[in-house]
Amino acid sequence: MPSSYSLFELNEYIRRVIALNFSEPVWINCEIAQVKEVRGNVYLDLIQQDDTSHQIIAQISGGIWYKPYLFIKNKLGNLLPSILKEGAHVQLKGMVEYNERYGIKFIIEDIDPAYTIGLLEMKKQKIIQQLKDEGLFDRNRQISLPQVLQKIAIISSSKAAGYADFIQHINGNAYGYAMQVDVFEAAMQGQNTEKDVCQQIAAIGQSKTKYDCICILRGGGAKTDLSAFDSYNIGTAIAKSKLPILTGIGHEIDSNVADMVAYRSLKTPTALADFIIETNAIFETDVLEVGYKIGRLADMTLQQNQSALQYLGQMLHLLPFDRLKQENFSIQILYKNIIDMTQRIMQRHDQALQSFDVILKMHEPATILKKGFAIVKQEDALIYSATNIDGSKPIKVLFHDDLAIIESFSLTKSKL
Amino acid sequence: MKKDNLNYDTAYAELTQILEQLQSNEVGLEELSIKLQRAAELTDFCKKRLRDIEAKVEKLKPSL
Repeated sequence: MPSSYSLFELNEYIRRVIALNFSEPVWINCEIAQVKEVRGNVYLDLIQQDDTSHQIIAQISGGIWYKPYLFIKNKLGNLLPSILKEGAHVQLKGMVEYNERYGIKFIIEDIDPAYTIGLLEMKKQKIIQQLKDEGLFDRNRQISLPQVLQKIAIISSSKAAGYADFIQHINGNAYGYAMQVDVFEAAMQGQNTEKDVCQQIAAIGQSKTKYDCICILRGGGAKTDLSAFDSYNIGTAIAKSKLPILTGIGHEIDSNVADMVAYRSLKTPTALADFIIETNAIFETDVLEVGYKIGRLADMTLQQNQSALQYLGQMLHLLPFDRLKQENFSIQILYKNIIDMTQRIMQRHDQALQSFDVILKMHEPATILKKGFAIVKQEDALIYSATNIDGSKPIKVLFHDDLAIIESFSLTKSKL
Repeated sequence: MKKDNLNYDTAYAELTQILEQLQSNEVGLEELSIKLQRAAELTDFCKKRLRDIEAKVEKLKPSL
């Protein structure tokens, strides 16, 4: 080996060594620090950070050329944007290539999405557990959703198709409900999503307008990156919001942290609009039902009172007549009693007079004489006792129907 | 017939009193016809009052 080399010779030597040692593709785990697509080719900066210090301890440039990129795009489909992005932890299959002029490069042939998804899922589960440990996971659901949702704060991009769908549904609702919908602009994908969403939740909370709820809208178009919503900070901001937060982030299968922490999660902005309209419709139905019940109760009460009044009126009308009948009867009875009593008194007096008459008749001399008694007279004087009889004078004895004159008689007097 | 302060209640009370007097033999025979005449007057008065009251009540019937 000569004592010195040209740079090209050195680099050519390095290339041969590398080619010799990396003749087959290898799988590596790394983080994407930067990614850029240029004319169908993708250029990446791949790094590895220290677990504790987060210092970059390894770095290499990477590339996906046009054909492998087509293969990867077909393989990953909608998952590609959430995997091939800055900050994503990825497992890549590629060749280590070295060019004498451009240096070392990792030429990517394949990506294992399961690795990234697994890591994202682990991160998501970790966030969920942390929110649960801190008592934040169910906090937003403990807020009462107003019965009527009229002032709605939207966190979204006003240019997003999902936002337009939402507005169209709200404005065109079949019930004709008028709602105030204010949009608070936020990036719905990419690195700014977390910061924007958190800031707007705080801004809505401090707004002078007293909103009934906050809606986080996304969706429409191609399914893109949802992992921004698997964020501890967004989860915390939603949980601590004083207003109920509804999400319509636009996904069909999995829920993200924002959905899980929110008061209510709907699959799409359109479904969220329907939920709001339905909530208001339920309230209106309840109000109408209460109004109907009040009307019925009022009618019933009126009818009951009318019946009671009618009954009372009838009773008031009838009772005096009953009383008058009673009084009339009472008067008749009273007068009859007086008549009866008078007759009885008259009879009593009549009987008494009749008794007197009988007694008088009993004491008449003729009546007594008929019973065998006789009246004795001497010189026209009544003799009441034998002691008064003068034996020398004649006596007259009067019977009930004739008279005896006794001229001479023998007189003997003795005590009975 | 005494008219002073006479109403149905006082007339009825007097009728009751006459009946009680008759029942208790308080009334002499000479007084009996006077009491009976008074009772007849009072009874007529009470019946007339009842007819008057009935007529008034009839007029006061509510239109329900």
